[in-house]
Amino acid sequence: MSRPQLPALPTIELPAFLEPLKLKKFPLRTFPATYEPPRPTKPTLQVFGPGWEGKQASFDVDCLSMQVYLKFCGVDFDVVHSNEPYSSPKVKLPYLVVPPDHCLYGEQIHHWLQKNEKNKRLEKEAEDIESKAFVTMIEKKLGAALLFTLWLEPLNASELTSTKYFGHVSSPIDKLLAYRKKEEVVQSLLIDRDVLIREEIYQSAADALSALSVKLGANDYFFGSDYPTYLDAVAFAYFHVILAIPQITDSNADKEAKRHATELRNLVLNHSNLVKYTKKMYSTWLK
Amino acid sequence: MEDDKERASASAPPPPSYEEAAFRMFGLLNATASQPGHVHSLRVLGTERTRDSFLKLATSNTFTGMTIADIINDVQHTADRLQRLDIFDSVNVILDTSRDPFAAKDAFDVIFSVKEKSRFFLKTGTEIGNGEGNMNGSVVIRNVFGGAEMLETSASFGTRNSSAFQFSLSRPVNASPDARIDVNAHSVVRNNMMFSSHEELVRGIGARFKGLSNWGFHEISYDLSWRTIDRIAENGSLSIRNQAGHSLKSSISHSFVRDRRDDMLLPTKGYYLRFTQELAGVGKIGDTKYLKHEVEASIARQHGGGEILRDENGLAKAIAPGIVLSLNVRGGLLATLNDKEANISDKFMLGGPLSIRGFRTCGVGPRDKKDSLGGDAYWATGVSLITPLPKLADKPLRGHAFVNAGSLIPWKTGTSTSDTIKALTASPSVAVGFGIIYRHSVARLELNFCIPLTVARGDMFKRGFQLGLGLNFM
Repeated sequence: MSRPQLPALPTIELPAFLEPLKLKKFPLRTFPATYEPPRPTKPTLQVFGPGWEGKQASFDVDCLSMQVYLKFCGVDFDVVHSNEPYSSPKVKLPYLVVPPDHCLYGEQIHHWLQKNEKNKRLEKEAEDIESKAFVTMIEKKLGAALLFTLWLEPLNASELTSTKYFGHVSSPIDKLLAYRKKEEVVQSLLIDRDVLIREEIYQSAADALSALSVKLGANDYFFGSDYPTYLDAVAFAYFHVILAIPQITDSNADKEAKRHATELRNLVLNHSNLVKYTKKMYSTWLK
Repeated sequence: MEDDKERASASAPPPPSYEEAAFRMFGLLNATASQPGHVHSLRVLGTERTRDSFLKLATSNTFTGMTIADIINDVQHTADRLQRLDIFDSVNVILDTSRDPFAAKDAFDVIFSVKEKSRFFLKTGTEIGNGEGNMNGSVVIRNVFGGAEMLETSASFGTRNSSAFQFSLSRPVNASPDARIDVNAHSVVRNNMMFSSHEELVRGIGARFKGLSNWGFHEISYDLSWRTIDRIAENGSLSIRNQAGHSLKSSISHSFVRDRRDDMLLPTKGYYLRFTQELAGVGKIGDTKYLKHEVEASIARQHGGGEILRDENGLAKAIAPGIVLSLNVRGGLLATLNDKEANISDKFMLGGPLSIRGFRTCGVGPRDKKDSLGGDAYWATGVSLITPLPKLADKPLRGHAFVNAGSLIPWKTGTSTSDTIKALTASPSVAVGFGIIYRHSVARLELNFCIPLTVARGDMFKRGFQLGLGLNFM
């Protein structure tokens, strides 16, 4: 049922003698602005940074994977170490600011790349779908292990991770935020499992790493592609972040705790092709 | 005639009228004022919770008088102090020659008979302040420890401050009603979506001293607060995004107010002065370091007026208000003491019906898209000519014509004076207009027709009608 068309509202024309009431002539004079906000001239990626080694790479996997993926796609962009998730529309880093001041996050960045025909995907449809499955596997299995290593291995959490993520906030708020973040991580890990068992989490990470190692083989990129894709970006980001975490050298620390702190790193080091791949990618794309 | 005389002589003399009694009383007082006397004992009756030591302190200067006049003045003064402590409903004074058989000849006993106010006090209400309305509730416990301490817990929900919780415990200093110290804790969510696309959450603790000096009212306070700027609007500007996050401020501030106006909302004469200084970064705590000064002065002059207005029956109904010229000047400077830019929550904002009319709230000064960013230095001034309206001179209604001007700029510590002056005068925002003022008992309401004359590019001005509601107008 269509609604009856309503008649248009009448527009009231002001009589000519009342026209001055609109004050169209005012203001009489416009002076220059008191402040000109800076405008980015090219896209900027807002990330956590600077990284562990080299100032360029972010220490956060999500930021690093997007950072390196944009490089794969040939986007000319700046990296800004904002370290402040609250600045993002989704309260999460990274996000991409496209001139003049449009903010893109998550899937929006992929859409933007696609629209500009810059995205890199595998040519074969089946492989592309399979690569997405690998991305999910990395995010699930390796992601859980990385979160565990960063926030729940006491040595890493207190000595390294908290400082990296909240070091720019003044004390004692940084401690409080780190504590909150840790609680958040525990909650997010408990979504998929009933109890947190260190061995179980690292075991599934080891399985994922073996699968990735086999998949990569001796190729330059996953699936034997000639160019890197989003899977390479994600895989590299995880490997790099895991390998780049500094080792605790404090001799007073408990030996057992020290071993746990480097357990995930050792799992990656077991696969020489993955280590070689990470080093090569780093020197090609981030130096 | 005969009857009258008889009656008068038969009965007792008629009781004196009030005037007569007062006259006699004054005569008596005058005659005895200079006679020696001293206070022999002082008693306070009717207290249950108030501590003896506190009362001793509060009434201590009653004993200094050497003459009857001194004693009467001292007693009156003490009664006034007790009343102003806000813990007694009523304070009655009884002054008598001492009953103590061992007392000296010219000794007096003083008895204060008081009634304590109820201890718990619940209040709910709606309030209208400077451009903001809110509803609030509070619980007050008076005289908590028997020393006129006040424990106040309040919550409010409003338009600008989405929610605010406050807790404070205060006590008088030296049992004086004019000086209080308090400790407080607060948590406020400020909604700045309208003009700056963000919300601000402030949590803090502080201590405050409020007191009077010979020059005026002082407030010295320390505050430690954790501010979070978050919930940036989807279309918020990049400048606001860069402000997001946490900051910690540890600051001491002093503010001084000297108010000699005859009315706060619509003064006809007198002047008002306010100085505020704030030093942030005290004790090397926090990441916010700055020195902030703000000055406000206003003066009002009345011309004509003062005649008594009578209604048609010839009864006085009001005093003619005359024509009032009022001038208001404000200025502020924020100097950061580290290389960081000041936080938006510490910066000055300018514009709106209460400051520069003809511009939107926070519509003057640095801006990115539609978000006002605030500035580090400003000046603003306003001249108003306030006149009574014909036939409505006895109502709290006035007409006025005004000129408002001001400028708000970003400023970096170390900028030379000449550059600062140049920047402050380069882009003045000026508006003129006229309107009607209604002085309500709690706030002032204005409806103005505004014409912006000059603006800085980016200013959010408003041609035509503008409504203003608040306490502190320029």
